[in-house]
Amino acid sequence: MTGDVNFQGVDVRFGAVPALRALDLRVADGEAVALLGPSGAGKTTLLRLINGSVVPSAGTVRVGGQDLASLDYGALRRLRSRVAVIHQDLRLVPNVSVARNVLSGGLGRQGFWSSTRTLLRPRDAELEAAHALLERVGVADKLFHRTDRLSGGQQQRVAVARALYQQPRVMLADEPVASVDPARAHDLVTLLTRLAREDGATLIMSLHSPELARAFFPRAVALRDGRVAADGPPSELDLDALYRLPAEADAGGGA
Amino acid sequence: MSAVRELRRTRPRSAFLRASAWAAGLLATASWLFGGFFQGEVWSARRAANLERFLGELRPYPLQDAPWSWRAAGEWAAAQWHDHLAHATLATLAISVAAIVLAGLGGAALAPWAARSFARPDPLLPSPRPVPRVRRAVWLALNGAARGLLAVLRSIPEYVWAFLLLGLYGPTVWPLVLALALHNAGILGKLGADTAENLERPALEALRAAGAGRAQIGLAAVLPLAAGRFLLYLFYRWETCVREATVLGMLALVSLGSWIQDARARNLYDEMLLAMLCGAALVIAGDLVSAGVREWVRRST
Amino acid sequence: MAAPEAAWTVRGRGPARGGPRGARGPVLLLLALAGLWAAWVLRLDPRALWPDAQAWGLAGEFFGRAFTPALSHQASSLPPDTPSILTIALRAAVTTVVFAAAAMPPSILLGLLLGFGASTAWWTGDRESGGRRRFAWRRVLGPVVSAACRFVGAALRSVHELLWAVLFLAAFGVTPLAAVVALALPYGGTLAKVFAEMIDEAPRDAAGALAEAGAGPWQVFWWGRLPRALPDMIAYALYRFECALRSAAVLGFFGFPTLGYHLAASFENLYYGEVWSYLWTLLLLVVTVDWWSGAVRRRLAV
Repeated sequence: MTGDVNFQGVDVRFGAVPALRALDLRVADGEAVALLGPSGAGKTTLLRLINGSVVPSAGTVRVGGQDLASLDYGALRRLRSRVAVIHQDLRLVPNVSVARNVLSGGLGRQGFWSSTRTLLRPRDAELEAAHALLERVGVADKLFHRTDRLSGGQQQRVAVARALYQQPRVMLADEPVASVDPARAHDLVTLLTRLAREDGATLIMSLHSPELARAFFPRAVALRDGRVAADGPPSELDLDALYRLPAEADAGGGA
Repeated sequence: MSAVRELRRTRPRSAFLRASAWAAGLLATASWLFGGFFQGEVWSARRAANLERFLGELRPYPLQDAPWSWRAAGEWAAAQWHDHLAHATLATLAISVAAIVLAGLGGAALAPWAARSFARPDPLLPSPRPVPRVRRAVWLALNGAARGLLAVLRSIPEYVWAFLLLGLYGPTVWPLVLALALHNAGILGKLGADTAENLERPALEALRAAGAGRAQIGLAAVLPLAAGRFLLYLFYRWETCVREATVLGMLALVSLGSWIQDARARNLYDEMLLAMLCGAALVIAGDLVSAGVREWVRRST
Repeated sequence: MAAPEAAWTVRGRGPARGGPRGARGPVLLLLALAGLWAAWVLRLDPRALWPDAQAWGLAGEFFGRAFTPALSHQASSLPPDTPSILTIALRAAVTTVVFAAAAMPPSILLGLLLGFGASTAWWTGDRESGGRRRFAWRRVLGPVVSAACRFVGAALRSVHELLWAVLFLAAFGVTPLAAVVALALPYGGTLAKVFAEMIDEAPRDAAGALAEAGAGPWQVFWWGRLPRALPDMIAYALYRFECALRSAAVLGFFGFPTLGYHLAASFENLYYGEVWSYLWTLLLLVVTVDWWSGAVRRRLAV
């Protein structure tokens, strides 16, 4: 499966509320894209479209060349196992070991009994793989510690390791640094962009901060009111206009 | 590979938890192996005959030698109901309600004294001036006494309380109500104290920092925050009270239990079964009501 | 426009209803009225709480011995080889613990089986997945199995363990097995209900993440929802064991060889010192188990 993502004429409505309108977007395999926009602009909805958590009211979403609407349940599971999501609130199981949390990233590609065996009595090779991933993110020595005994930053890295265990073609990060201090935010974005680059995976990260976009991403897509307001290298875009209120933005020339 | 093995060997382990798990497993196994459950004849012809006779006696009296008829059974049951079961069921319900109300009052009264974070000379925030040892000791004693009292109240089973109180008051209804009330006051008091201790500190500390006294903080912050939780616990315990009220009657003359005991003493197993079924129905009804109220409280908190 | 942006997780609870204080005010009023109604039905007279002179004497005698429990028999004449009070108390305590410990495994098993079945988590997990739902049979079978398990659990639970014991006594006589089964049945029903609630109400964040990583519905249930409920389930099982100790002791009132048996006998003979010996033994047992379960709960806590 390749990691290219393709939106064509996508409309998403939740009841009467439009979340995304006439969205056309192409992300190439291996690209790193920063998704910007104020709250309510549709960033999370866009990300949720990519792994099929949200179904568009109109238009098509293609991931790796496959139209999501055409996939049966088994194919959707396989696709999801190659699309990794890193949530802002991490969503780890707090009272189990880090190893088990990382290994549960493999549930998508294992059957029920196989995954039961992996999580209850992991094989050496599987533990080695989890350990190697934890090394990549920098918390290798916490392999058998209980997850909630780790600090917030360390737990975030465990969540990243779990995502990596999926061997994803596409990595989605939903506001991973929103509630994090600037120093740690910088570290985390560095880590994610590096990891995606090393693995050749497509990375789409939703951010609030134009500075981070400018520093790390060759491409930024700005959403506003459910539409693409800007798309291109961050240095060339007036990103700060995005976050101004509508009247101001119009007065300032708009985007 | 050895790195992983090393990490596994040195992982943080709770010796206490491991010991507890082993102890629990050994205790359960040893109980089954050495508890004498399979001595004697678990199953024998005599036992089987007894069982068959017993099952036969469960049939309603008018149908003992007649073919089964739902109408006849219904008439017999209705007669029992009108005769005494209806009143007994109502009495059982009333006992449980009276008991839980009293238990709620008692538990709520004791809980603040039993909460470690409040029953101290310097609740919530340390006092800048050192607290005289006498004051600290007094508060410690009060707190300890409250906790001790709650522990005793809830460790003695309701049945034992009822047994003891009946010996004191004679066969009236107060001992049953009090027995349930005392035991559940212990439980609700402990739960209330735990809730108070586990409340979100920032709001309370802010009030304390602004100079509020213990009672003021209690009324302004603790009560609204903890009241919802306390009500949930109260209705949860009420369900248990309904079950217990049925059974406590076996010691006295008031609730369904007394009729169960009565029928059992006279070997009228059909009547005993009917009374038990009434009790079961009451419990199920109580469960439904309690679930509804708890959901209502939860939604609005 | 408020797009449901933060909506990765499944729907939360509805808005608060019923005014600024919500349901608490009305419920408190309801309780007060219910209490008054109960007092009226039972013809409760607060003055009757004040015992008469004879009862005061009894009470004084009884509570006076609270801190001087009898360490040797109070009866004046006993058969020569009667074991000492401490031996009797110890043996009764051990029997109590054995009954309770033996009743826990079957009730936990029953509770897990019925609890899993009664929970809605194993057949509503598809919602987290969004997208296509293939397993239609789960959505048809799910409610039926849940309802059936809930019914069986409620039926088992609605008969008190002492009443089960009475039934088994009448059917089988005084056997230890009767006591254990009488405890295990209603306890299994209670555990089932509580386990089901805990599973259903545990946070679904991890489950959602696993579903989005491609896990199937069973995997999401076992590795996403269940682990979140497990610490609470273990804590509750320990609490049930403590309750089982108390219930096992009370079974003694019906002839089983536990602490209640000797307690009742001594009370009826007015040997209050002995009664307190057995009461203190029971207290010691319960407080120890309470402390132990608290310690376990603290270490397991999320």
